[in-house]
Amino acid sequence: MSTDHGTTTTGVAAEPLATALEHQRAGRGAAALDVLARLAQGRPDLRQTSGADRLLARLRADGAVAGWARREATVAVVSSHTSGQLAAAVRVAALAHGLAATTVETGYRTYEAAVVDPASELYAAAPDVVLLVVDARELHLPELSEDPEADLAAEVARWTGLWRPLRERSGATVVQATFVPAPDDALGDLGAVLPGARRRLVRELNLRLADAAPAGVHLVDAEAVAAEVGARVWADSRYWFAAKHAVGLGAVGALAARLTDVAAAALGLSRKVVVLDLDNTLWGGVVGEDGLGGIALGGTPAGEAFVAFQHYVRSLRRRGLVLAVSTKNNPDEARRPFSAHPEMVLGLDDLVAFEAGWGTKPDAVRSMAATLGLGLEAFVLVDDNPAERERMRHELPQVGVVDLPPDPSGYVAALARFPGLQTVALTAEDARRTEQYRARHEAQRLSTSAASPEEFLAALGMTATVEDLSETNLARVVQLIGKTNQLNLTGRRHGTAAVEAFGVTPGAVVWAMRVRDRFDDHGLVAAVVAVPDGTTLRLDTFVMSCRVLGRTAERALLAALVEHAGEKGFARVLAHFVPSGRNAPAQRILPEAGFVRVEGGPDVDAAPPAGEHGPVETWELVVGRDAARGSEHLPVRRATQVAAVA
Amino acid sequence: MSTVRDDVHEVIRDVLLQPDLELEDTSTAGDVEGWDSLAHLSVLFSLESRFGITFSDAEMGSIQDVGELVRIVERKAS
Repeated sequence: MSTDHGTTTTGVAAEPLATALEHQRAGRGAAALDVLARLAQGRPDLRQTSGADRLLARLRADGAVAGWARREATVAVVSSHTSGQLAAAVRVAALAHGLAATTVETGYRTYEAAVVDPASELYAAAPDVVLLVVDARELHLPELSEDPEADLAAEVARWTGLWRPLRERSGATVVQATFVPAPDDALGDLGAVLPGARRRLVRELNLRLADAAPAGVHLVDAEAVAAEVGARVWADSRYWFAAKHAVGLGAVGALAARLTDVAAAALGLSRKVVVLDLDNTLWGGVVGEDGLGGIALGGTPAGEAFVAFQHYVRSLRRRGLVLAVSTKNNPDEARRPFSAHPEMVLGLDDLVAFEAGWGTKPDAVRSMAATLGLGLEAFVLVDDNPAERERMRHELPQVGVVDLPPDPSGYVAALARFPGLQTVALTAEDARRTEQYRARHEAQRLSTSAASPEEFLAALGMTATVEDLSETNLARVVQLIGKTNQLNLTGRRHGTAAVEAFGVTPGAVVWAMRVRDRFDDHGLVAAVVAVPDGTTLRLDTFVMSCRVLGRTAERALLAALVEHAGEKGFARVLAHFVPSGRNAPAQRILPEAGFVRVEGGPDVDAAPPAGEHGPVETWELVVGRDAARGSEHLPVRRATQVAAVA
Repeated sequence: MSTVRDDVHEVIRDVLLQPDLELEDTSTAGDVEGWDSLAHLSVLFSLESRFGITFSDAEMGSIQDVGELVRIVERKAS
């Protein structure tokens, strides 16, 4: 951690909380939060979590949190047992994602009533995320069931019956911890064997809930958390009898980290690019000094550990993460193991960027961010060298930095535990992301060789398709609305339920747009929600992935919307730009598409309230008076009107 | 060389995030701001982790003041 923010006065200079407290007391709120976020990444124990949460409350009172956080969210902890420590651990774990969470708890034993009662405090809090953490003691499953199918069906119906009102009334993302069988079973090992035994039924219920979970409901594998911390730590009966702690206090931190990780992924806060060092990270030794034959990869225990780590890293691509390399090496030497070492698992085609040279790693990441069109918070560095890690943290605190242990056998666990690498759904876009980013690199090269931006766009051979909301694009549309920060006109974060509701509102438009060019299919990159308001079609939400920034796609989409409005007899399209502090790139979208600024006027009532980042702008495009400026380089096809266009 | 008493006090100060808190043997949870029943459980658990000890069922509900807490930890940790 950086120590140049001030000197410590206590004897525990290395203690992160002491450092964070000093920052807070000296009015350096953001620095204090950076230290807490780093502490949260490393699984703090209960003592640290308790202190960190108290410091977070002070920072919130100081007004330091809002300016620091990437996102603020209200998280409801719906639990059958004492949840105070869990809520505190969630607030702390959220910091690892740049998420500022305020929590509301339903209180001991009242969870079902709170979910069922539309007037409960749970709904009054308007949660963005609901964490359902219920003890297996609550399940109506006997020690040995006479009718396992009926008992299971009743439990599945009970839980899906709680998810439904939660989703419908709050629209919140629901994250449910699966049920953990009690460690002590009257039936002994038969508990896992007999078809009607409780242990087996609890596990079967978890599987059925996974099958029954609709969009917007995510499960966290609590039994895996219990296994990680140990069954006796998970279920510490002394704390259960003393204060109804169903999850042992030694397990609360690990559970909170997993719940928060999945919730953050659902909110679109996951990281996207894993930047790998080479020497002593992907193989043992230094290829520039030891040579191709001298590096440790396969063969020895350490060499086998590096191979296993490469397999794990490669498998992250399936989650939608993409891989890149940043190494201080001669480019040719750095690439040689990829092409010539027989034990090498990762290939150059697994990577979207390869930065080899003698510049700094923060510069390498900055360059990747610019090329790939991503924010710095999308990146995570994996490097064995503590000095490189410190430098990255110091220069680019937005970049995640994994603390690798000294031995490569521990690398997989360190990366697996790192927050922000979860995916809640494997969309086709996620799975294809590496190909997309690599194609963007190619296009970038073309742009530097093209004489003018116009030539570049023309040479791309782009086409776009606009389609209505459907079952197949719902997950991606919600993901885009949830995670798009820059090209986002209004910043509204509609969840699945809200988007589905717009989809069935008469006259409303919920569109998704796909873009492809001659290098790549960029997939579903933009979404709009527009609602009728008399003769006005009002743009509620407009989000577009930065993947297609500078491709005139925003104009193409708005022109298609204006054309649709004309066909449906609307007199005009009304739109707002709500500054969020992060969406400055979206400010040009409306004027460039031909919209005209409206000052005051009868429709300003429909505008969202002014945010803290500046006044809301109101824009309109009157059909027949103003011409929409579409894109000459991006022909748009309506998927629902295929016959008419073809 | 820090004593068990010092270390117990340190754990309490850390859980409550009050590095300047002065504790006496006669201090009770009610005397200290922020030391509610939830914090008390966190203090007990953190002491168990710090000293590798286990409070008995009876002790979990009966500890009256900081002095008693220190005496129990001293007995168990020795």
